[in-house]
Amino acid sequence: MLKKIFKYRSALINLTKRNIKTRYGNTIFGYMWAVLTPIAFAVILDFIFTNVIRVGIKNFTLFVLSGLFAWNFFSNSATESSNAIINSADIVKKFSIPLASIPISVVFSNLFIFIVSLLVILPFFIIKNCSVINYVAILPFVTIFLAAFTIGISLFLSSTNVYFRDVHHFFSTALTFWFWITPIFYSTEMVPEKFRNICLFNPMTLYTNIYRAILFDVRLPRFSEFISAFAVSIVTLIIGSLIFSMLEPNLSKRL
Amino acid sequence: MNMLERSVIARDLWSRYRIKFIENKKIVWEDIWALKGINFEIAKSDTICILGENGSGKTTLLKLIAGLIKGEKGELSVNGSVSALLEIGTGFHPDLTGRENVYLNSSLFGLSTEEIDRRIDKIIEFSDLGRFINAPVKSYSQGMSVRLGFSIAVHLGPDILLIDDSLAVGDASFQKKCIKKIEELKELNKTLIMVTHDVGLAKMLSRRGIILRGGNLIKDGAINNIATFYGQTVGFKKGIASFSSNDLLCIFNNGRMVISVGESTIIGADGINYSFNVLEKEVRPDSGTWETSNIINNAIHATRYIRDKNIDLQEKCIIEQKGDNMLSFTVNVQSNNNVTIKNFNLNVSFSELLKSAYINNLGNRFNESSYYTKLDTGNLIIFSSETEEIDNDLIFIIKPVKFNNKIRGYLQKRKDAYSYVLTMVISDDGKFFRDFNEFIFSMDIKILRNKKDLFSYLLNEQKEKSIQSADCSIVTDESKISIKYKEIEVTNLSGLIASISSNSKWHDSNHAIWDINKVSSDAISVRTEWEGLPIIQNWRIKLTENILKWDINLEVKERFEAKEQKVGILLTDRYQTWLSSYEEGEFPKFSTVWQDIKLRNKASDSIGTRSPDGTQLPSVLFYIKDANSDNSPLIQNADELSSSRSLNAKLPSRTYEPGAYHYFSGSIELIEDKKKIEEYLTYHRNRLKELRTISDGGYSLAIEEGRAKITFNDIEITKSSGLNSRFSYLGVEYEAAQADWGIEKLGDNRIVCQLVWYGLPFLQHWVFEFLGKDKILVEMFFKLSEEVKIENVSTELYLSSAYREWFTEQEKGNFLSPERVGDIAPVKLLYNKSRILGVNSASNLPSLALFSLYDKPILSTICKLFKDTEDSIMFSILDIDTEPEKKLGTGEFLFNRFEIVLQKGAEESSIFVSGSSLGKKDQAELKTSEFNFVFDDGRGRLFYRDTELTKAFCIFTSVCSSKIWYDSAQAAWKQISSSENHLELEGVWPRLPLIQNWKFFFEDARSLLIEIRSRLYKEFNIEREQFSIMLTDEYNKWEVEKQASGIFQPNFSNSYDIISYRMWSGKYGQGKIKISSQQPNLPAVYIDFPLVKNDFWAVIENSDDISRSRVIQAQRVYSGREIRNSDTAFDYFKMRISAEP
Repeated sequence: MLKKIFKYRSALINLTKRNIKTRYGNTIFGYMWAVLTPIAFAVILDFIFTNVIRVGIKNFTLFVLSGLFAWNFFSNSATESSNAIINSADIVKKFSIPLASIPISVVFSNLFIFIVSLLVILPFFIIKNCSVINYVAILPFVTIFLAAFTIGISLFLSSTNVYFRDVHHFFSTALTFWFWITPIFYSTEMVPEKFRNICLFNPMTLYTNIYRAILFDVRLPRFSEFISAFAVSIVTLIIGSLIFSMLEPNLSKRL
Repeated sequence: MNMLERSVIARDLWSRYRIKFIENKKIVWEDIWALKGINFEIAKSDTICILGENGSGKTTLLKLIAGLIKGEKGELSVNGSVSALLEIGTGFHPDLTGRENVYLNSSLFGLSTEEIDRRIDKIIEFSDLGRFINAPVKSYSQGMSVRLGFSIAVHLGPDILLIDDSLAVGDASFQKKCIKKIEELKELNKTLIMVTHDVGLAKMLSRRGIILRGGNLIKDGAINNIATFYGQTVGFKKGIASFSSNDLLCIFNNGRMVISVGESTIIGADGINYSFNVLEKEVRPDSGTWETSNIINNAIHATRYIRDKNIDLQEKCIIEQKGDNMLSFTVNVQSNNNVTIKNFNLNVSFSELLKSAYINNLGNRFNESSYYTKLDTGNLIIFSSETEEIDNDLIFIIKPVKFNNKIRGYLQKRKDAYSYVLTMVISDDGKFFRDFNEFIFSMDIKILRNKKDLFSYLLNEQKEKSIQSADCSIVTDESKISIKYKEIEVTNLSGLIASISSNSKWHDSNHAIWDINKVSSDAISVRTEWEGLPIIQNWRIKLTENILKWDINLEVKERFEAKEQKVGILLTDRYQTWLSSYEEGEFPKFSTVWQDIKLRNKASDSIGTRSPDGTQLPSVLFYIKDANSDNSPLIQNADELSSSRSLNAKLPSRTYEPGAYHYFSGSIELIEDKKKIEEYLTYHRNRLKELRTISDGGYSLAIEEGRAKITFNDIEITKSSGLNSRFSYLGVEYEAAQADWGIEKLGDNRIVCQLVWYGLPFLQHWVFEFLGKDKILVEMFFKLSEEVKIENVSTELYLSSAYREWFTEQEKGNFLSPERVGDIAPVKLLYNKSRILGVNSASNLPSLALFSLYDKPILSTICKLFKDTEDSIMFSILDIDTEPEKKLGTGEFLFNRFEIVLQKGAEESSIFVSGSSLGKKDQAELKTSEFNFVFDDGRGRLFYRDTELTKAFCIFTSVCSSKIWYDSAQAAWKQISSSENHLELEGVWPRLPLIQNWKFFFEDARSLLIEIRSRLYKEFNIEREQFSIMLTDEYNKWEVEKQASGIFQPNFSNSYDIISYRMWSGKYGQGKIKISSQQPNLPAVYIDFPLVKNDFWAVIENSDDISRSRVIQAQRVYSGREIRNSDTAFDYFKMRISAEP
């Protein structure tokens, strides 16, 4: 499968481009939105958390942002890719590309936005603490782990959704829960002891924590955390791929 | 590229769809098998089209090949990169520009960016989008999208190109461009697999076709076959059946049969179909419901019932494969009640591939202008595509094989196309089939792929129906038997033919229904059932060496009268010379009608044609009779249209009662050796001559048709026709040469001829007999079957112009200075009733004299005739009769009897001795003491004391009509009454309806009164009349009382009527004419004309130098406007001759 995806890499690239282009292609600000959206989001958060809701955490806006972009990347990718194959039926029926390219391209296009967002808000973190720069080198690795995880989930969702269209709706609903059990608006430490395990069992906790450690806490993530994130992403990717390739042959017939 | 390399191999390929059905709020999932075990292979660089109705699984198959889906079962291997043009133009993202979509689409096809970069320009150029390439695709029209899609697909450089229906979307010019591009790809050895409904496009682009139906592959083969089949069977209708083997595909679709071979549909459109009328109802291919079954392989049985109140028909249409590329098509209509069927038409619509049509062989090209072509069972109708490449020809042959009626067919070229429509009208001489129970029509269809096969097929067809011996072969065909000599056709058209005329209508064997059987290796039998005559002729033709024996037996079903009957051969018009055993001649030019060649000898038992110089054609001899038959030869020249030479045996007319007859026996011999034919002719001519010649000493008499010839030591004495008989009947003149001559030798010295004139109720018999070695007795008879009047019967003998001197009983002379009147120089005879006409021997010719032994009055003439090349001398004896308008009764009448006496070197005197004694002349006398009057056959002689005063014609009359003079010496005279001084006679003129009554009586001893009355028994025009007296030239003075006088000139010229010799001309009655002489013994003669009408005048003149006499004449000239009524004396004349010593 990998080989075939590689062979059709230009298809993957072009699909990714298409996704990005179609998202911003017909707008006046175009790719600026990729920057504007995270900035606007940060401004609103800052206004609310300094003037409306008073949280005990210092620099709460940056605290939220350090995890929120990673989450957005994941949730958008997963939601979009769950419907990706169905939406790309015309391509599926016409071209004998590796179907995995379609959800992967969705992940890739979101990954692009995620990276742009990160680059936009990174200066704020540097302003807050200059030493963030020392740990920035770790960010690509974490991002790759997160992307691999997202791809695994996307492959699973996109293929199963063709068979069971409920998957998309179920997942959208589940994401709301998932969001709140992921420590974005709160830290793991704030979770009561008896629920902390549930929170830690959530793979997304791992990735948010690593991002927060680097950007907000300005420290190296724990080695165990790092290894876990790597392992989770690999396992998820493998499971997702296996399920996908199992379902792939009949996908186009089900469309 | 190795053809064995496969692009696609499918083995038992199955593909399934799972469909969700929501029925009654229940969800049911069901498996639908789109493909059910399909097997096929596609060779590399093949072009193939998948045809199928919606839902047949064709798109699934394409998707499988494209790798878009996977089959559930079976194997599918695809070698090479695939580019699928599925739903072209739909895979674009509407918000992206054309160019961006090219990159996207191309990459989806698996191309790398660099590869796309290389092609982008070509793609854009081909798509013809211009600036639009940089506009979002959503602003494109559908056609533009398709163009872009197609452009991308074809430029990807796949090994296998898959195309679906969407190609139909673009505009015509782009479609053309696409097709051109696809053609280019085909040339680059790309494999092309397309799915379409457009049969035309499929035919254009692909070589092979596959038909899918309900997930099964039902047909795989050449695209044309497949397309035709698909076209005919789409929709799974009732009444459709088909079979195919090798190249051949045959489809029966509700009464229409369609045939295609390999890549070509031969019979398309309405295919082969038929229609007919039954009881005013028209039965057409679609007028009933057909049931078809394919019980046996390679055969279709289709049945239909036509039923209503009065009709109960069962039709069976059977199409069977009978061998390699051979089909038979049979229609069988059965009726449960007797009905009448009309207008049975069989129609075949040919594809325009078949460019030309022939009947029977390649020499006989179908002529588009001849709208109507007669066809027969067994005829071959050959269509050919006439391609240049020998092995890629397409030949289609139709051969009607079994039918109990006539077929008339016509081929037509469709007005709007180059294709042919063959219509065969099957009928019984234009009528229809009454009261039939069963009707069968069958034809064989053969399809060949090259001319060579056609030649061997035709050869085989011929062999089956031909026999051969030595250099000669007989080739039969339907209604045709041709003779070939060393492979050259001797005959023309139908070859052997028999014809019968009955009820003034001709019937020919070639319009009969023929049943030809090869009896043995050298014999053929033909059964001909005639059209319009209640007969069957059974022909048997046997070939031995180069002789064809021909026997015909006749079966007669009903009584009929055969007025004329012929059995003959039509020969090619390359023959120029005809011959019979005794004659030969050139054929004339063809005209618009058939011409009979006149044969002088009807006795010939063989006729023929002579081998033309410089050709391989043999001479042909047709022996027209066996020992017992009464056949006569007939050579004909056909009309321009048929342009054939025709040799016939003419059979006597006859009325046939039902029964069996031996009809004809004859034989035809082909002779190549020219010497042999000369020998044949010489033999027959000599033999005939022998049979027709009697001779004695050096003299011989030979009779030929139209000619009796006398020779002496082989030198011919006679000329031209020799002996001739001439007569007129009903105003028309006939002669012997026009008659049909029958000649028979009876014993050694007798020959009898029978002369028959066509249409005359009488004939002549001539009997020639040698009486001793120098005398031939000739007797001529009329044999009459009814009472008729025959006029001006004369007998003529033509002699060599080498003769110089003539003599008669009374006179003699020579032919040295003839006085010609046109071609004739008549000898002036004073005595034209001589019963002896003769010529003195000249050079090596013997003297000849004709002694008339006939006891009736005759008029004899001697003429010299000048013809173009041949001068001759003619003796003529005209029958004259005292009874005008006498009819001859039935029976036999002698009309002439004479001897021809021949003596070498003899003078006339000795001939007279050797001739038989002649009859005594009729003479009447009237006497007075001084005068003596003798009537001598039309002339009155006057003696004075035994001295004759008259001379030459003496006292005579003459009339002139149409500028020809007739005198009383020519008439036939009889004595009416006589007494001591009174004599009455009546003369009947030959050739004029004139009768004169002459009365003589002496008023006193020296005065003779003559009264002449003329009467006509028919309307006739008389121009002049003369009453004359010729006196001896010893008279030398003339005097008209009180008026004129003169002296007769002593010299005579050769003419009467020269003015300078006319002594006097004046009105009658102005005085007596006195003729006197110095001779003491001659009395002066006074002539006056008492009681004569006004308009006479008298003439005194010298005669010509033959008569040498003084002429006193009363003349009268008629205006010519006066029409003489019959039977009234129109004129009366009185003359008094008195003498004064």
